[in-house]
This record gives sequence, C-alpha cells and structure tokens, in this order.
Amino acid sequence: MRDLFLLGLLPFMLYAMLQRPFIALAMLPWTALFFPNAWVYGIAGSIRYNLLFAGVTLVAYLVHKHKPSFRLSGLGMLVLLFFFWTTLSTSMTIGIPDVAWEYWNRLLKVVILFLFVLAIVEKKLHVDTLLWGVVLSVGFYGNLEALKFIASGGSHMISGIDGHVLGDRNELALAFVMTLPICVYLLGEYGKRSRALQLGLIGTVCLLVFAVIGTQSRGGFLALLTLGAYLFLKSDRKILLSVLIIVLIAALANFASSEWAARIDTIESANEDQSFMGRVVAWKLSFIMAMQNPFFGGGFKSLETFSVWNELSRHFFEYSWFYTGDSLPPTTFARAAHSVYFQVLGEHGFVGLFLYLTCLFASWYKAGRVARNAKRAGGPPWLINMAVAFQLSIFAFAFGGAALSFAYFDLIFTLFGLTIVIQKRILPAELAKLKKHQNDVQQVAVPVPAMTASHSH
Amino acid sequence: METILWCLDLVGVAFLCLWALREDRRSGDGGAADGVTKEKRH
Repeated sequence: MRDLFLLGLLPFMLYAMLQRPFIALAMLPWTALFFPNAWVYGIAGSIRYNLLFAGVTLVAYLVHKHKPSFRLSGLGMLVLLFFFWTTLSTSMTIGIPDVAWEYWNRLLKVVILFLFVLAIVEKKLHVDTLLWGVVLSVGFYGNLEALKFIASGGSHMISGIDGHVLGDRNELALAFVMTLPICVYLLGEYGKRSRALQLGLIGTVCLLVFAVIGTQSRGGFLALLTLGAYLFLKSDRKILLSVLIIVLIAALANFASSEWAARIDTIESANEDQSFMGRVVAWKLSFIMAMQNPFFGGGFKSLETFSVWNELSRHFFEYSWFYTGDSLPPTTFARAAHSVYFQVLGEHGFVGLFLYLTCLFASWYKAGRVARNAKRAGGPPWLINMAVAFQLSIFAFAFGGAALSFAYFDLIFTLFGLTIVIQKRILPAELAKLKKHQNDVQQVAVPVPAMTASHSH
Repeated sequence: METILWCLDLVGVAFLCLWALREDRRSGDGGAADGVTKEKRH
C-alpha cells in the first residue's frame, strides 16, 4: 500500500520539482533524512530517490531561466577548501583506500548539496521550503517514534533505521535537537496562517523533546538542555517559554524510565563511566593519529581500521597528560572517533580540523551577525528569527557533536549554505527594499512643500 | 498508526511541493515553464 501511495504522489512532486529548482533542492535533504526506501517493500523500494531527485534538481536548475548570481563568499571557500583537503587526505589514507573513497564520495554528495543551496536559494520562500523539507523528514521520524515512546509508557527505546544517515540513536537525538529551532522558526512564520499548522508544529516541538529522551542518548540530552538555555536567552517570549518548559518537564517526568534516569545520572560521574571513558580512549587514539600525520591525518574511517587501531594503541601511553582513567584501547575491535572534532582531527589532520572549526564558527558567527544587522536596520522580523534559528541549530550541532562521529552530517552543510545565502543574498535584498521604501516615503513627502512654494510664487 | 502517519507525511511533502510552486508563481518569478509561456506570448 505504501508503495502505491508513494508512486501515486511522486509524479506531483516531480512536476513541481521540474518547474522550480528550489523545490527539487528542498527534496534533497528530505530524501536523505526521510530515507523513503526503508519504508517501502515493493517496486517503490527499487528507486534511488536521492539520485533521482539530485538529477531532477540539476535538470531543473539548468532549464530554469532565472538563475541568481553564484556567490561563494569566504565561508563557501572554506567549505570547498575543507573538501579539497579531505581529497588529499583520502589519497594518502593509512586505512583501507576503498572505504576511504566511499566515505569521500558521501562527503562529495553533501558538498554538492551545499553548492546547490548556494546556486539556487535566493529568497525566503526557497529557504522556508527547504526547512519544511527537514521538518517533514526528521520531524516526522521524531513524531512517530515519540508517539511509540509515549504509548509504551516510556519503555520504547528510540533508535535509527539501519543503513540510514541517522542510523545511530545518538546521531538521531542530535538531529532532533537541531530540528527544534527550525520548527520554532516555522511556527512563528506559519502558525498564525493556519490553526492546523500551528498545532502540528507545537506538537512536533513537544514530541521532538520526548524523542530525544526516548533515544536515551546522554549527549542528546545535554545538547537539548544547552539548546533550551540558549533559546531562553535569545527568546523575546521568556514567560511563554518558561511555561512550556515547565509543562514539558512535568510531562516527561511521567515517561522517563528508571533506566533512563540511571543512565543520565552517569553524566555526573563520566570519568568513572566505562562507556564514556571508552570514547575518551578513541579521542586519544585520534589525537595520536593526528600527531603521527599532522597535515593530512589518516583519511576517512582510518581509526576504525583494526590494523591502524592496533598500531596506534602501541603509542597509547605516550601522551600521559591526555587523561583516560583506567581505560585502555580494546584489543579485539576498533572504535569510531566519537567526536566530530577528534574525528576530523584524526581523519584530516590539524589543517583539516582548523578548516572544519573555522567553517562551524564562521557560520555561527555570520548567522548571528545577520540577525544583529537586520535588527539594527529595522529589517523584517522573519529574517532575524531565521538567522537566530540557524545560529541555534549550528550551536546544537557544535555542542552535541562533541561526543559523536557525525562530522559530515548533511544538515550542518546545508546550514552552512543557508547562512551564506541569508548573509550575501537575502539580507542585502531586504535592506535594499527597506531603503527603497524609505526613499519612496521621502519622495512623497518632499514635493508637498515644493508645490506649496511654487504656488506662493 | 505508523502507515497512517507515513502517508500523512507524504501528502504533506506533495502539498509542500505544489504550495511552493503556487507561491513562487504568485510572486512572479519566472521558472522554466513560465519562460516558455512568455516566449509564446511574444
């Protein structure tokens, strides 16, 4: 039935996508994060939607007559430089070359998405459509799983779909947290237009919070708390937000299991927690790999190559200041880096990490600057809210990603692109509109005394 | 319940595509099809 439903709606989607490249672009993160193939079992499962939609986006872009001028900006150059650096590190990988190139290929697709954002998105409607695509993918999965979590009285543990970009429950939790500011922005923009949208988005915000709890991810929970505090500081509606937070905490208290509470309690004693210290061991080995290959690192997934892991483990005691407690590297299997920062450090060296950190910081800073400049110039509130939502989402990634191997997440690169677009394209256009409006008002006001003067003559 | 929500999400996505197309057409930004139409008019 799902196959028929998907195949029945696909022509309508393709029609709109072919008409406007920004619609096709919005479907790229949707298909990446929604993963339609995992939900169908018949003929619809044989279609490669991401490839189909990428092809349609390219065709629609080439056919489209009105193309905005391509603005790369400093941040765009940094992203491309980072990608170039990963190409060098992959060509010199100390891991398995086939695996490294496979992951390079995945990053290439993410960078293509980033370039599409720069080439296509030029106004509010385009950004909003893209953001709705994210909410209808990550938000949908969060809603569905949170409802199962609530229906089970808190015993259902939320996890990702195997083979999906959000397969790991910790990564899934972070994606939920990153989607929250986007939902809040869309709620402010579209909540007043439709009661159904308002209720749907408020429900999605609440269910995403439940979904983060349902993953039992400690990193996700910390990211949620930090985002909540940041959102509270940034919000103009502190009383409303306080009420919402109190209601959510009261509701969550009924569903958080004792198992969940015990797991969260281990955050306080992280240095005694074997699971957490196992991550620190992986961080240290990533650091050792970077010290041995400071410029290019070891290449994608090199830490998870058992022979590399074993070799690095021989040098484990060399940097004694790097605290790992009593934990030692496992001798029978290799682990992932478990931190976006140590992941990039190990895989692409200090230069790669510098580029990556600069991209993260620059996008966060630029989004904040757009919000400040728009506010100062009397720009539209939606632009300020949009920029703040991006800033919050990037912040959540930077904080929550510290304990996850999630450096090349599609959504963070999409946010890099969108930040450039709002800074280089949307903010100047809105300020120009504002200036034109002010000039028009002045022109209407000025001739009156002039005419009076001429009459007096 | 899962299938119903899944179908609702897909309807939402299809609606989003068509709504975005209508809004963009209203704003007067010419797409590929609009360009063809305008050329025919000339």
